[in-house]
Amino acid sequence: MYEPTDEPPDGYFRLLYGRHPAHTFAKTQNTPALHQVYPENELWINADAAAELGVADGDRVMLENQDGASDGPIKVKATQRIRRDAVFMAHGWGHASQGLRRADGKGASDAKLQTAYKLDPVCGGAGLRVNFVRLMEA
Amino acid sequence: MRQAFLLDLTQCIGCTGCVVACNTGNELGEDTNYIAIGDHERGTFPEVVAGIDNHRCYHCTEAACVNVCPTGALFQEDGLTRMNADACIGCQYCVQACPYDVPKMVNGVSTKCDGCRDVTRAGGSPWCVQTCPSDALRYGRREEIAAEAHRRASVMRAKYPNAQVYGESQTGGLGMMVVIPEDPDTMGIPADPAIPTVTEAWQDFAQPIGVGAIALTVAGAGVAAVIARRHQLHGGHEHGTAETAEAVAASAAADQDEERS
Ligand code: SF4
Ligand code: SF4
Repeated sequence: MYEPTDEPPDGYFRLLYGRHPAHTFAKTQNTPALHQVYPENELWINADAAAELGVADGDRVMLENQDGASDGPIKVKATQRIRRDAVFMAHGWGHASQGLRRADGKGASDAKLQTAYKLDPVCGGAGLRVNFVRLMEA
Repeated sequence: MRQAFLLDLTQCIGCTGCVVACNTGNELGEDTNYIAIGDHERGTFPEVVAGIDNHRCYHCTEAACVNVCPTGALFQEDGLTRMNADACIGCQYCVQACPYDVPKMVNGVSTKCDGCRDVTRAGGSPWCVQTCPSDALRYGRREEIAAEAHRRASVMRAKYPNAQVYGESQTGGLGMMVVIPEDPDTMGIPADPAIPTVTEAWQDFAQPIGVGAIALTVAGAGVAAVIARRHQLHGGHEHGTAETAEAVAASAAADQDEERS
């Protein structure tokens, strides 16, 4: 049954996403006590891959996906704890609302970068980790 | 009774729950925290060793912060170092002296973990301990906490051969028994924290003089108050010494600010 998914095109990374333990979905980024412990999400990228792109830990970059959708800027976290062909960010950031005094404009939205999906042929579940992004100058 | 915390860095998942519980329970306000969570890593993917940093007051027995504090704002009780912010004059000696870089100045006074004095003296657990989802934090009698720490370290040695307990000997024994999976230096914790020699000199020599100087200042303020009071009585106003003392404190605070800038 298993079918391998597409590999990222040259210069692109598979976009992975998950949670930050202090935050719940896209709801808590503006909550004072939670905002202060993790105010913005970061882009985890393999440190060697980042160095090859001339990007350093703490830099801010824009992201653009395979269909031209873009978001950011997002802060780079260069680390050895991720493989070379993927990047990771926590879900819930990239708010655009002046009413969210703290969270407005902080970090990037993984959702805005997910313009493609694949359906599981048996149960119909949607797989979203089939989007690819490249790093652009902020 | 001598109390202690257990901080098990083989179990901490870096969720920041303790930071938030401490911040809200102690009503510290936004961006003031007694705990800081970070991480460290070494190696190259996929052979990477990574761990969580959980930085907070270690509640030293030979506590440099207590030794240098000229007013008794920092003091020891139940085997922990406490902070009475009302008595802090903002001199920042503790900030300079602490070997773990713990006390921070907020609004002109020193702040640090005081072991949740109010909560624990009422029989409760510190906020961080109450919230930790991975049982990385405990609080209790120091012998029991130490025994639990050693038990956990010996279990962990099956997985991490260098697993050990940090806090038996440092600064005369810490009120924080830390279970670490590797050597302290690898974890970014000083194996042998240096207590600045100046703090001992301060305690034995300079502090008594400092206390004398404060006594003189207070005596001087008293004289000034009497003079001021006479002047005011001549002018037909009644003014107590309390206000004058406030004025002295205010000008002392202004001097402090000048020194700092
Ligand atoms: S860690 Fe620093 S602040 Fe805490 S008791 Fe020791 S010297 Fe004082
Ligand atoms: S609450 Fe517990 S697991 Fe979470 S960061 Fe604090 S010590 Fe670690």
